[in-house]
Amino acid sequence: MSEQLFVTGIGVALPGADHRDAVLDPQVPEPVDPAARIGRKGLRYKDRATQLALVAAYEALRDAGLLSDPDDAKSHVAVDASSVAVIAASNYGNLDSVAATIDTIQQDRSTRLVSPINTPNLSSNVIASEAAIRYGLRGPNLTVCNGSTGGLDALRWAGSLLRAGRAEHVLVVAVEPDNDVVRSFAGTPRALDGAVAMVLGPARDEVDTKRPPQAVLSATQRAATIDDLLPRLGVDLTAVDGWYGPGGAAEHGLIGQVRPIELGHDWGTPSSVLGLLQCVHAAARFAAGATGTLLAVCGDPADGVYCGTLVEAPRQASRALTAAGHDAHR
Amino acid sequence: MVERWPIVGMGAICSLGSTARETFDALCAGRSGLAPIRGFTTDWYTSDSLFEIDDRDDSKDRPGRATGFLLSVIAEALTDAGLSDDLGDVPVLVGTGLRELRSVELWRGSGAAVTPAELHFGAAVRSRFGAWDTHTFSNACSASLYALSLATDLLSAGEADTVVVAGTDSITESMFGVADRVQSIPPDAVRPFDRERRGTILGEGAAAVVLRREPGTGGSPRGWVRGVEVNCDAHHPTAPEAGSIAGAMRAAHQRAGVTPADIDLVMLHGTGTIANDLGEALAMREVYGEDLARPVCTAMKSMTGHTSGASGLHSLITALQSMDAGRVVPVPTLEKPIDEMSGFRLAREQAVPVDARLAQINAFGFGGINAVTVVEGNR
Amino acid sequence: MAVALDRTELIALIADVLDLNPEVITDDAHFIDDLGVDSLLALELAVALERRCQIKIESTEIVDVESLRDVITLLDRKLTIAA
Repeated sequence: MSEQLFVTGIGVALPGADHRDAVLDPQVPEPVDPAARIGRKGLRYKDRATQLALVAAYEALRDAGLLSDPDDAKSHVAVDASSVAVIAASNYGNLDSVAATIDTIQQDRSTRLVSPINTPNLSSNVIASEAAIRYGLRGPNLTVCNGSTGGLDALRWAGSLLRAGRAEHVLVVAVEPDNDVVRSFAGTPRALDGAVAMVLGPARDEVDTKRPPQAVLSATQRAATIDDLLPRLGVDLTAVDGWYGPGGAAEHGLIGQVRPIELGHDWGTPSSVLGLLQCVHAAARFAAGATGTLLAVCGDPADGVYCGTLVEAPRQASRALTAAGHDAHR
Repeated sequence: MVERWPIVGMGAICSLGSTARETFDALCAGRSGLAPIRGFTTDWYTSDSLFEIDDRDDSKDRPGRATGFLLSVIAEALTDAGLSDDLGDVPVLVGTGLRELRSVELWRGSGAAVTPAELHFGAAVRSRFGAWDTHTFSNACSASLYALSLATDLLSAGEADTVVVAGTDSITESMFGVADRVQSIPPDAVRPFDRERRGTILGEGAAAVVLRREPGTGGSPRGWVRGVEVNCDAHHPTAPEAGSIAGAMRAAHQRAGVTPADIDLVMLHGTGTIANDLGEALAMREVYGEDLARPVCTAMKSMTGHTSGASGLHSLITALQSMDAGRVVPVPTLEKPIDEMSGFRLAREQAVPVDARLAQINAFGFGGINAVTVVEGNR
Repeated sequence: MAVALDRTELIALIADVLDLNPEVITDDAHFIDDLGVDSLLALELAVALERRCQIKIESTEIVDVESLRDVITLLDRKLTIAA
């Protein structure tokens, strides 16, 4: 399993963090305003999760240099549309739409007042399909609803699509909305209300000096426990510089001598967003000068499974260029 | 050398039967699973019938039914494959349109106990079959064929020797409710490719296959997957696009190393909606050209309803059974085919004898996500 | 109890549902050909009118409603019946 994934673009739509480096030190957490980020047009009947995902997707595609007009948030990709795949990860994405629909039916005791335009939102693939429609992405289109490991699982399928030649670029976007339905169903006082997106590109981008990768990911692995996960990842713990744990790391403490890394800000229950947030946090650390290899782990006892990946710093020279490129177009 | 992956086990459940065998017999007999609504308060809806699985006492709904269907078909497929119930590191890829959203509705509407881990199928599959490499893909009505494409990629890459691929769906009140609103003159039947078709009717069901890299030493496989193509038209949330569907068919043929003239049987997606059937017919015409009279075409949703995420694998399993038994299941509701299907050999009132070796299976979903596969029978 | 809308209110409602500027909703601007409305959105307009005006519109009736003028004609008929 020497396969590697190259992160060529990153988009962030989190309260208080609107780009990669802001996840290290978020501003006062105001809810994300999708209309302010990508314009009001086209958002009218999209649910909250879809809106958030469209924001993060735009930023990631732009960051990866794939859009025909980087400043137009309704721009299509400039590359062959069928070469770009989309993978969305979400667990609670359309629960609000489903709940609102059955509430309407129960209250009116009929379907007369059910919104027809809400139809696509009742199918959980709405996020990936709306991203495809908006940015013209005609490659494979996949929606991962796989519990707490969903974000990292999505990376595995991105790797699979790239390796199988089904896509040359994969937009992965993980998103969860915060609302009363989600809080109540997930039993949490506050859910994360945001999206994180990454574009994973071909290995040859590594030698593209204009757009070197921002991080390099190992193939994700799954196992029933964290202890079982480590050998599967083939990880040499002495070479790991820190790890992100499934619950913000604190309760897990050290793995061997490896220190936990705190995400530093509590955005609420992250569900499927956690895995991508960990990877982007790592990429931001690399951009700020950190080096080495970090371990990201997601999962929870109720799901009964853990998923992990190693996030490596890109080469030193590439990193400097990445930071310069990022500043240049912001 | 074109790759092919043996299918060594299969299982299915739907309104017509609780095993693959029962379902196929009912399909060949032209039976319909359409029945008065069992799961919802009928007074609230204009339509009065659905293709439900009759597994509830005194019409009281309960959470977890899609999960139950799934576990049942996986168990059947494993038995069929001669494999044990302990899957360990065998990947289980589950395609679904509506995952356990019906359970969320029962939690919302009547306070049923449902946890987040029950929203996807991983925890249940783990608990029943000891599998930890479980994946739930919510890919609308092409979900199980999308999962199949990922499974063939895993096998090709040597990441697994065996993969279980499944699809499952129960009917959600929200999707049924919005369909009831949109189709305010409810269809009395699913009439794929008929001029009088008036829309689709939802069905419940699940299907599973066990796929391997090599046939292994057991009996002969049920058939082979020759190739799966997936794409997205990036066009409209609900309206299909014929060009993109045709593209998926051509690419699937290419992956399978076949041409339209080689295909003996086509399992059409055929939902009975105006838009799907028109788009699918136009795509079929474009791809099959002068070979359009070559394959026998059928559309089983006329008898099972639209089984959403499970429908692709339902069609795949039926195709393998058809090639094995030498007869194609009919479209009993088809009376006057649309002009766009003229020239195609559509199975009509009764099961048609056929000597078939290669079948094409179509599955298309909301958001223009198209999946097409070619399978080879074991004859 | 049916509720009547004046022209300005009606245009505002249509513009809101169709996510358009009110200025483009002229008497004869064709919803589908000129304003890019699709079938789901047309149905949504019917539901919005039902909610707001407390009337019942059959799906067979909304099929022929293709412009503001058609909406006004439909509502006139419905409200006359309701009154």
